[in-house]
Amino acid sequence: MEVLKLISTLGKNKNLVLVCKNKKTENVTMELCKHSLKKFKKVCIVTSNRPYSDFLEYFKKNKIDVSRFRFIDCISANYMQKVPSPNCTYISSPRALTELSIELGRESIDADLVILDNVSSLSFYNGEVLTLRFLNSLTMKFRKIKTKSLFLITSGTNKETLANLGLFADKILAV
Amino acid sequence: MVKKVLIVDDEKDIADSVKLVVEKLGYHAKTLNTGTSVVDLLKKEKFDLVMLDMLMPEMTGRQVLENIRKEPKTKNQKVAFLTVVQLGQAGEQSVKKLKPAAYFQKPITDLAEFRKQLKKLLD
Repeated sequence: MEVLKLISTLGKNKNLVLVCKNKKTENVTMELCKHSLKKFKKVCIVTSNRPYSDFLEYFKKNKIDVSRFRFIDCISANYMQKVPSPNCTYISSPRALTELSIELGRESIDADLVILDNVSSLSFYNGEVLTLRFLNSLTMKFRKIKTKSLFLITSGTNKETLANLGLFADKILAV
Repeated sequence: MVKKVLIVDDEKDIADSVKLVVEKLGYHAKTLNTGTSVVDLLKKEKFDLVMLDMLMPEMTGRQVLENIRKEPKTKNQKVAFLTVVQLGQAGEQSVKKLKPAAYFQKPITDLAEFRKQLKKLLD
């Protein structure tokens, strides 16, 4: 998978922004999960776009070892049923950025890769500038603890948001 | 003639603190809390340096500088960023294209160095 090849060649504390076509986003994240275990020991996934239960279903179907993932689910607490799991922490809302930041601080320490799925939905809930400020502080945190990060954004997102997000990125890839 | 600096930051306290530093160095300073009116102001009034925050609502610093470079009357304006944004490698390349004169990191931790760089930009 091109994305993972690219991210594994980046330095330990680098950030990749992945711009996905709207229809592709879902598949890309799941494919990333499937292949990431070949390159990374532990992956932390922040989901603000789909519930943890979707991932769980896909993982079962594809026989993926869920124990090597840590999920931070930002949407189930508000909108759907939470599936109790030792691998998933539920955040009260996608607007609860402080809560998310604290949880990420805990979960990202022993992760080799953090995947944020995705910036477009976080921006929808929090507005562009607040989201960018949050992502800037996250990127700084990941650089400090030497964790790679991958931010997904859908290509239909406002062009300015894409350009501004690119400021924190070490590489930008469109798929 | 005393040199003039325009400080653009949506956080009023920060803009005012930078203004104090600039004025203590003997320059004139003016503050704006939004990026939207920067180009219009620059068309009317001459500034020797514009200090731009990056992450501002309505219009980010990057957009403001893009607009400054597009406008024939302001395209050669000396601009520096003063921001919390820690640029990535791709970010550095895209900002370089806009030719900022300097990039200062917020918060300012070394005031003496900041003053030195500012003087270098203005003298």
